[in-house]
Amino acid sequence: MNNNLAYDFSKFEEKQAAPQRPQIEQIYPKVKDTISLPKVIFGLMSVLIVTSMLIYNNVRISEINTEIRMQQQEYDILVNEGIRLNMELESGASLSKVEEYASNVLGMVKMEKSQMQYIELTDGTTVEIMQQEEPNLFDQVQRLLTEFVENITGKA
Amino acid sequence: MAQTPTKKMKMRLNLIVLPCVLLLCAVLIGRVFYISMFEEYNGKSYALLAQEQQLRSVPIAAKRGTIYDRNMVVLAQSASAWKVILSPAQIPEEDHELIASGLSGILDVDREEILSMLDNKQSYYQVIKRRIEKSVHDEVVTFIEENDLSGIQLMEDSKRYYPYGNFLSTVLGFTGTDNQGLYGLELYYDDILKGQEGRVVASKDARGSYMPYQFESQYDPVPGNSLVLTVDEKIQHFLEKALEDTVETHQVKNRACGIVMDVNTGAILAMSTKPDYDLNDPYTITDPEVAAALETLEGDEQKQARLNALEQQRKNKALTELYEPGSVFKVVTGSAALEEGVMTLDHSFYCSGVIDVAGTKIHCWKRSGHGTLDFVDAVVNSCNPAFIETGQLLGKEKFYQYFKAYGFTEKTGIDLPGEASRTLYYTAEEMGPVELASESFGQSMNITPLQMITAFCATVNGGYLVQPHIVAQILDSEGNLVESINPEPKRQVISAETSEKMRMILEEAVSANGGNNAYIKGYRIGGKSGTAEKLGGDETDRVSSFVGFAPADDPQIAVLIMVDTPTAGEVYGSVVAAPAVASVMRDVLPYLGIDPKYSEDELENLDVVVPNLENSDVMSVQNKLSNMDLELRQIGDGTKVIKQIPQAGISVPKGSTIVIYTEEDYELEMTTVPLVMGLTPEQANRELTNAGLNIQLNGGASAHEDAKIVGQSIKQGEQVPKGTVVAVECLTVEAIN
Repeated sequence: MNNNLAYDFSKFEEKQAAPQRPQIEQIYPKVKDTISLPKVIFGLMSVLIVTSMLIYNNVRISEINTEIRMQQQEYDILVNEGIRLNMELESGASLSKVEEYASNVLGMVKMEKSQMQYIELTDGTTVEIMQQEEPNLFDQVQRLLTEFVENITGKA
Repeated sequence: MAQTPTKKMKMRLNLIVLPCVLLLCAVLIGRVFYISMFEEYNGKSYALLAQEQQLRSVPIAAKRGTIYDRNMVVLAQSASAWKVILSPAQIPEEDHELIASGLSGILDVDREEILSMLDNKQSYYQVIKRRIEKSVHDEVVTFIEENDLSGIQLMEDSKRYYPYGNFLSTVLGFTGTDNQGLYGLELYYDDILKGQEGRVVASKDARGSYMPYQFESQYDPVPGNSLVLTVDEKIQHFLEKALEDTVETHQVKNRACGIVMDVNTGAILAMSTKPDYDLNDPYTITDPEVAAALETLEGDEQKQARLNALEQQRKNKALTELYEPGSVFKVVTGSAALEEGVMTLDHSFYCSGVIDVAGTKIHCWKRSGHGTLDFVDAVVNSCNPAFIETGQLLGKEKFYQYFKAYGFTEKTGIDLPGEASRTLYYTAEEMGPVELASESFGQSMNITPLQMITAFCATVNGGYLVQPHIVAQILDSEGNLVESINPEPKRQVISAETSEKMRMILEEAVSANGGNNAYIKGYRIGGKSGTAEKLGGDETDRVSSFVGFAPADDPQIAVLIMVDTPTAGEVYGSVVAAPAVASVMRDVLPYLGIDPKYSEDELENLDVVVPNLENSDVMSVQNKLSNMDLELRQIGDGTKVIKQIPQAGISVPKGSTIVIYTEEDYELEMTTVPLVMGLTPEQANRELTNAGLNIQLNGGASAHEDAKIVGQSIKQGEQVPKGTVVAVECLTVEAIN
């Protein structure tokens, strides 16, 4: 122990630096660049839109399929109704009903053979084309005189 | 000290927890996989159970094919309909009365019947009514909606429409509740008409809604093919009309049938049995007498009797029932003898009215005998002893050979069900002299009308046994041709020369002596009548028939009419069936474009139509009527015609008298109509002329030397104006053959 206050040898000792707290350098991991909010929103919106469209399309397809089925059923019903009505029409216009109506209501009778007139031909019908003969001299003179007289008298 | 978990800690956690989680997941997945794929419940895998629960297989009914006539007129067609189903298990008690009353009125079903269905609370499926149409369907839907009812469903059904009711009924047949053919063409061609059922396999969710994207598979139905028949709707109508008139006029006890056949191809142009039934209502007995008789029965007896009656009215008599052909069969015996050369046209017979065959006396229909006659006369007069002799000359071996060759020992093979499989006859071995004798003139045998007309066609068409058929084409649902049916003739039975002789002889049989009841002016018609005793029937029961063909120089059609047991008036084939054949021919021949060709005599005697003379000058009327070979009787001194009897448009024979009134205040001169029934046409004309009336002769036999008046349009004793036309019906009446 050095009790000599005259000499404070501690003043001559190299002053030792006060022990310093170690410098703890907090090393933060390098933070990556954060995704920007607009991009996130855009992405979410896109997903939402696509998903909604998919769902909507499926729903629409189902609806349209149902609509097609219903219309097809309606069409089939009407076609069959058309067949039924045609059958009813045919039934009402059958030959026996027509005949009954014609004779009982309209007072018509079937055509009798006596209502047909028959022409007796001994041979088959033939067509003869009259041959135009060449006018002879006498005919020509006669024709000229006739025309001359007509011109003078003014009568045809 | 670390404030947050370190890497090491995290790693440690991952190493412990992750495997545990993975292990757990693996176990769960493995378990699910095992349960799904391998484990079973009640012998079935869960996969299968799930499928069974979710998948629904719904049949799609195929549309049944349509039946058309040869001109594509629809005779039978199917359309969708509905059936009304009750699920009593789902219907609360308080709705029973409302449902029973409401549906009873809409569906025309007994209210008590509906109530008894509703009482069956275990059931989910009770059919109230099938085949309801749209109007009724809409009423049911409205009823359900208005009353907010549950447990009533409308399910798809099918309905077959026959637009013409009982038209061609015994040929077409009808379908049953499952749309299957039950009779006639509907049965015979059921495989072709019904098509093939389709299926929709899809999964349903818990509420029963379809999940269209899951497992859906559809197998489209194949629609049935359609039939185009050889039948002509118009010819069928003519035949049915003639048969109905015959059945009514002659009060036929056991139905009548008719066939119109193309002589050269075997195509059936018409086929009918009367009375018949409505195809749209096949379970109703149409004969009022039979229906009344059924009402008197009870229980099982009534049920059985009703079934028998329904069966009877649906039978196609033309091919399912046998009959005795009688003298019509003589064309077979005669043609066979001519072909074999054992008979000639001028072979001489002597008929004394009876012939002895191996000790048995067989009488001719004409008890006094025909005297000496040649082969043609034998056919014209239908002499039994002449044909017995012909059969003897032919011999039983040859007779049976031709009997077989003409197709009487086998089915014709027509494409219709129910053809009689066994006809009744004697074979060569069984045939003694008496059997040969009686079969020679058409007794002691039972054949079908279809066999008879087919054989008849062979005698007149050059000798060819044609194949009768009723379907000409098969079309698919788009109308494309699938198959055309044109069968070849089966064989040649007789030569063309023999056939030509038969045509000449049969024409003579109709036109001889001025023309018999099948004769039509202007047409060359050949034919043969038959009147046979019924085997096993009452003594007085007869089968009357006639087979005719036209034109005789170039046969196109043959018509057979068979009347089983006429009970009113005469029973002879020439009186009952021949006029019906003439009626059919009169309509069919012009329809086929075969115009009448009148001989000079016929032209000379054609009726004339009375012209309109009212308001005309008397002088011009005199000239007009004179040119028409009509007589004039003037009442009054006026110069203008005020009234004429008969009226304009009525047809009268030449030589008739037209009465004209020329005073404004005229009074009709009246006269009493005399009785002319039973008189000859000449006698009737004289009687009516003496009474100041005019005669109009109807019937092909009006010029026949043996013709008699069998009907008059105005009854004896009635007071009518002078000049009135009285139409009379002429027939020849022969004794029984």
